[in-house]
Amino acid sequence: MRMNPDELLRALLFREFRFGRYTFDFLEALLAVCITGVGYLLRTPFEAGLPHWPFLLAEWYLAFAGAVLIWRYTESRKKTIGTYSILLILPTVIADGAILRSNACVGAVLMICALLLLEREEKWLFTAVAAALLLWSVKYIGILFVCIVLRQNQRLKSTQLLLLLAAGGARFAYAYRSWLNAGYTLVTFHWPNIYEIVGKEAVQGQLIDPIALVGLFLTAGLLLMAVWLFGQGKLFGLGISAGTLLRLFLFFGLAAGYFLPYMDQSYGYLYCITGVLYFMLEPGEFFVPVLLQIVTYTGYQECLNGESMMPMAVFSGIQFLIMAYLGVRLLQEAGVIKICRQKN
Amino acid sequence: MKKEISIGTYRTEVSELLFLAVITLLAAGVRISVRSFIAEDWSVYWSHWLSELEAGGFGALADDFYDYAPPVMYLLYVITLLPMNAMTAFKGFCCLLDFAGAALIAGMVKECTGSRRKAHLAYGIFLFLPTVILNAAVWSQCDIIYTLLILCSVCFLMKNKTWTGMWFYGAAFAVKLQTLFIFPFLVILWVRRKVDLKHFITIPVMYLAGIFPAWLAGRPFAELIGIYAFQGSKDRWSLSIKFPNIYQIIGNNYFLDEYVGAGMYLILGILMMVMFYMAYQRVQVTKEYVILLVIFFGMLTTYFIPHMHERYLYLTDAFLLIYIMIRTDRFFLFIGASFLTVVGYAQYLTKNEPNVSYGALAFVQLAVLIQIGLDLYHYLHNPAYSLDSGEEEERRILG
Repeated sequence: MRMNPDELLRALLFREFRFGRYTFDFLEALLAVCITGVGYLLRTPFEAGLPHWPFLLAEWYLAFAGAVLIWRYTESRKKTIGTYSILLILPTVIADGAILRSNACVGAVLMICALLLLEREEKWLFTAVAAALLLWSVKYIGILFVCIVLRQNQRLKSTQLLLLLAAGGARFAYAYRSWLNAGYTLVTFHWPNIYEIVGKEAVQGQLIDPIALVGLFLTAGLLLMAVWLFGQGKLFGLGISAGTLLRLFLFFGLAAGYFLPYMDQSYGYLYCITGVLYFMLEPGEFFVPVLLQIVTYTGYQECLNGESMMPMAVFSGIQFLIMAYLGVRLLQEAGVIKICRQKN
Repeated sequence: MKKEISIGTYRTEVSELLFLAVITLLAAGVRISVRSFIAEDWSVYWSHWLSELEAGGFGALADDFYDYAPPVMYLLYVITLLPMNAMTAFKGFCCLLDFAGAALIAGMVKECTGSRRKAHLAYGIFLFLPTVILNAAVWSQCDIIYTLLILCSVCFLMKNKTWTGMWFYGAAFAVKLQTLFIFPFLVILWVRRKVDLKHFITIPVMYLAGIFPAWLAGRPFAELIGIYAFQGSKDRWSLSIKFPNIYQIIGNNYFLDEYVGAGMYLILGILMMVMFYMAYQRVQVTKEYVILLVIFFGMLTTYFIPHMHERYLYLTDAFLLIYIMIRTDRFFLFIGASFLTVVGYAQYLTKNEPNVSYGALAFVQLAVLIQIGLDLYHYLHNPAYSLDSGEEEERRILG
């Protein structure tokens, strides 16, 4: 019998292999290997020699951890390999690591670890990692508000929330003290938020910068109100699904960054990653990660080039729309909109 | 007027024939009236190449004064032998191909929809597309050549004449590197058993056949093989040359060298993922699916590859026209897409800054790309087209 090379190759592509307790198709393995190579090559144009290995390793681990998280959530091999592939070649990741040599990757890895721990119901470990993030930077303050919603939904204990409140509160107080006399010339550094619309020049020659301090308290106040609003509903029915959890992280994270002063372009990094994970759970909402990627990368570009191709206010507007969309979805899910209609 | 008449196998009503005649006359009229316009490309490149060919004859092809594929230079050489103005001859030839392209598009629309009226409308629309008029008759560009070859290729593939279709694809590759933008659609057709590996031999064969006369004329083989690589190394002064893609949003004047490599690797990664996803979708391959694949890959690659010119959506515009005749509810896509690139043409030809920001146009182009992607996604997940796991895939493209 004559062997048809085409049929042989096509059969090979979809042939299943077993490696220990793992099963995979040849095509899946091929994509994993090729995309790892492409991810490596994608970083080379920005390096004088070989890519800097700590960044390379951290970013590879980020992609791997993201893939593991999606596997735990969905048990879909295609989505897992898709997550790994997208995270490896995500332009924001490359801009932050290969071009800027920044450390936003560490925060994202910790965040994914926290989500993995929460998924495995290791709540104290989750609390510890989340507290570490909160202590590290005020830009992770959104996590605290997600944890309050989780507490409302009985996913966290009061003691765990108290610990997180203490960590977040300590960081907030530290930010307040240091920003009191900050003396920065700008209120936002290439991060397209509200200040790109209302004006990003910081107040000079005063004892305090009122815009920055108002922004700090506005963030806390608005996010607290959002938590209260979500609490008016049925608290997401029987439990918070993985998709809703990521939507909460995205919403609170983006909302915090929209009003927090002195944020830089790397603020969007974590949410670009979260956006990709979110897309794997909610493929119909693909526009959220796409637009987030554009908005964040524009910030990186402005930081690198010193100017933006389009007014940054446009990207602030886009980000507001993403945030508003996520907020409305959450209110719908929590049943708040229904309650409001009934009362009317 | 309702009376039907036949011209060979072609049957139509007298009124429609009249419509076609008037449209053809008007289309010819507009092309004739703008024939004297001299674009910068003509005065800087084409006329220089022509004078080299006039001076040295066919043997001039041994020199490295040209960076276009040799088949285009053979055409120029033939033009030097004609007893008429070279620019008029070149524009005239390309405009004739405009009409051939319009007729072919009409034929494909008829094949896909079965509607003669839609076919006639497509013929008229193609001839009056601003970019089509401006490309050949005003700018003296020849994008119609490879577009026509690709149209022939897809037309024959849809008729299940695989070898003929692939020979045309190979011929298109021998003329223009931009043919590769849509190459992934052939890989998907291979996975779906519509073409075989042996058919891909047509690409190198046609390329070699294309460079053979220039090699005979004396140009070194290594130079001829690498002519596309040389083309790619030009235009390094901007990441997007008046083309509405991602670089118009993130900035097209910085990291010029770095983004050349990064952009290529990025699109490679994106294509890998897209093809991976599509390879797993067992669907019936219909003509609509083939057209959608060509448009999608054409738009996707040009959105991320650096150094794209304003003319590089010419091919997808032609296929988008066929698509909107199949799905008339997508007419807005065609209006958006076909007028987006006119801005770049206008800037090149008039040397005036456009009133619309290219960043805004790039967002519109992204919206068009996403809508085409969604149409493809819905096709792949349409139960009417999906095949059961045990169902044998047909080797032919369905109607």
